[in-house]
Formats: sequence, structure tokens, C-alpha cells
Amino acid sequence: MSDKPKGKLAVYWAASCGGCDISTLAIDEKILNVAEAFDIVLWPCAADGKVRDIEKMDDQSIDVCLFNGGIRTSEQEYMAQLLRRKSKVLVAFGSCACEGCIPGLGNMDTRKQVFDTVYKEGSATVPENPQDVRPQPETEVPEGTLHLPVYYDTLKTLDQTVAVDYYLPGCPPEAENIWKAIVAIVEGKLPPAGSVLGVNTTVCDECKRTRTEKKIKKFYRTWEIIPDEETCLLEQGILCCGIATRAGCGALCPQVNSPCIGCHGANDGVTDFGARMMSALASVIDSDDPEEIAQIIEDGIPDPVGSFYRFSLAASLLRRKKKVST
Amino acid sequence: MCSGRVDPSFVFKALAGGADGVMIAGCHPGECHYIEQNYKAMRRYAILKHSLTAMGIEPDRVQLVWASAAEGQRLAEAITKLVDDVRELGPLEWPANWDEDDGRLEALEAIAKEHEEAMEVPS
Repeated sequence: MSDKPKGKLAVYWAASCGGCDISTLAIDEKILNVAEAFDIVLWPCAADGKVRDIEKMDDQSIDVCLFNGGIRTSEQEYMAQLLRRKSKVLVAFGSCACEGCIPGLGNMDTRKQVFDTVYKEGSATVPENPQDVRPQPETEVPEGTLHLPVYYDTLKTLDQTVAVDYYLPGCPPEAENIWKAIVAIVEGKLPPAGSVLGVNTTVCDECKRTRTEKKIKKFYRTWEIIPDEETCLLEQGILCCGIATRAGCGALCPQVNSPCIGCHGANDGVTDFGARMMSALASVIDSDDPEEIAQIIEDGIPDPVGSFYRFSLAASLLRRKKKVST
Repeated sequence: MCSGRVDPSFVFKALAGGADGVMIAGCHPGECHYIEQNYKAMRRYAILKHSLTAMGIEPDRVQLVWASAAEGQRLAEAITKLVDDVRELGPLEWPANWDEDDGRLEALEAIAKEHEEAMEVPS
């Protein structure tokens, strides 16, 4: 990598947990190769770098920006717009940026409901708040007006906010896939813009379990059954999302007797991950009686959104639960 | 289109695009040219409704109707029923669900302005 002139790299986080940054550091000593190939101009988790310095840079002067996290606040939207403007290549890095991920499940509530939970009902962060103080976007103090970011009702994915060049799936992306992506970027061997940097097949293809015919009379939640280690988990009645999920992880979860929960999202051409799951499951439920079918579904899948859209609610066609003004 | 081909995403797309209701019509169970596709439709519909309810969408907005090619009357009645039910429920206006109307643009401008005004820290 050393014979090329140094490029500029930015890594940023928005509504995310920090796992993407940790996974990036999990490429271990190869991070030194990254530092050899790039000047790291911004990486809040691991390096210095100031937003004001980014603002002063010429547009398109950052070669690559790896952006993890969804867009939940005005500050995150501002940073997404800024980094889009300053970067030649913007990568939606990890499930949150690609499709909202766990923070996107906040789309089942509104800002008011989230704030009620945190500031009124007694949370770990705010155990007591008798005066019901809430964060305000603007506060007047003698020195002037102070601003806090506005918290949005609906979390948006990165590409619902700004144009995105590439997507790197996973919660978090596996270190070896991150390294492959970095090498592809440095060597200029990138697929057409808009592509997902990964394979285009399902987790089932990487899963070593034995599959025969799927006929399901009852779904089990993971704590209700100890699955056998050889047979397909879905055939045992466990809601495994491997049938709809993009591969690339090596079927990590099924390998340890745990169902795939869909963190790599859908394959190319699928508009709605949850719809894909629903469609596939409908084919394997073993009943032709409407009442029995309804019973199997209601008993076995008490939380359909959490089961089918754990990672992709914000990117789904409906994006959120119906907003009720309260 | 065969009712067995109706993917739940078609229904989501219609609702997200502004439809207030969706009807899925298929041949009667037991009368499928492709043996069992309408049973698949029946199961997909059940799982779809379960999810729609969780998303806050009234179940009556999406209805499954079995009607053969010889049952024009039945189909017409089912359409009338769907229209009546949806009229009762009112417009869904789904895309308005993710509008952010509460000071978003002002907040974005405030950040840029604040950064411009911020004191330069000598290096």
C-alpha cells in the first residue's frame, strides 16, 4: 500500500452503539496499514480531528468516509450532509447506516414517547425528575442562546438523508469484511456505485445444518427449546432469518445453535426484508385452516416487528409505526 | 396475477405510496390451478395482518376475498364493503408519518451558524 500517495479517510458515528468502530479496530495490526495509506482526518472514537477543520476543507477532498449510525438528530443530519459534501466516496458502514438497525426500532415510538420513558417514567439515566425537565433545542442564558440537537420522531437511514456510494452490511460488519472493503477501496477495485460490498446469497448457503422439508406447526422462542445441533433451526420451529438474510458472516449464529436474526439485511433486489421473511414463513406453516394459521402465528410470533424488522425497520417500506399524536 | 404471487411487500408499497386500503382477491381454496397457491396467499395474509396491526394499521384496511371468475356479484359486494370500511376509517396518509415538522430546518441552520460564530482556538 505504501507506493501510493496518501489519501484522506474520515470515520464517523451517528445513532449507533460504537460496535462498528470496535469492529474496525478488530482488523488488529492491519490498522497500521490503513494509517499508512490514509491520513485519518476525523474519527471521534479513535483519533483526533475537529469538525471545524472538516468544514474548512475543500469539497470532495476526503477520499473515503466510513459513516456508521442512523440519523436521529439534527446534529447527525448536519454531519451526514457535511461529510457527504467533503467526501468523494461515502460508505454506509454497518447496519445502522444501511437500514437503521436497533436504534431504528425507536420508530415504533415517537419522540414524546421516548422522552416520557427516559425523563418521566424513571430510567437508569434519569431516575428522578420531579419537575419534568426536558431537553430543549434552545435555551437562553446571559451569554446568548444555547442549542441542543433536535431529536427526530423518526430515525432515518443514511441514504434516506444523503446520497450513499457503497453499503457495508452487518451489526457490526465483521473485521475480515471491513478489511476486504478497505483493500478494494485502496486498490480501486470497487463495484459500481450503489452496490453492497459483500456477497449476494443467503445465510442458509453458508450454514452447515441439514435441511430437508420445512413444515412448521409451532414456532418456538429461543428460550423454549434446546435445538439439536445438526438440523436446520427453522425446521425445528425456531424463527431463523437465514432464509432472507445476506450471507458474508459465515453463518456465525446458527453455528452456535442460535438463530440468524438478520443483521446483514436483505440481498440485492429485495425492497423489504420483513416482507421477504413473512413470505417465506407463510410457505412453511403446515396448515390450511385460517383459524389454526392465525393461532400458530399469534402464539409463535408475538412481536412481528421485532422478529421481521429487528435491523431494517427504518429502511422498510413503512419505515415506522403509525404516528399517533399524543 | 395469481394470489400466491402476492408478496407482502406489494401491500406495503401500496400503503406507503398513499393507498388507504388494499384488496387481495384470489380463487377459492381448493380451486387453485396451481394446486395450493391460494393457501399460501391465506397464510401470507394472516402473517401480513399480524404485522400490520403491530405497525398501527387497522386490519380492515387490507382484505382478502375469494371470488371465482363467475362471481362478479360477490366481488362487487366485497369491493363495496372495502370502500365502506376504508371510508369509515378515513385517510391513512402514510408518507406524512415520517415528516419532521418540529424545527428541523431551523436546527440545521443553527448548527452551521453556531460553528461560524464559534471562537477560533489558536493552535
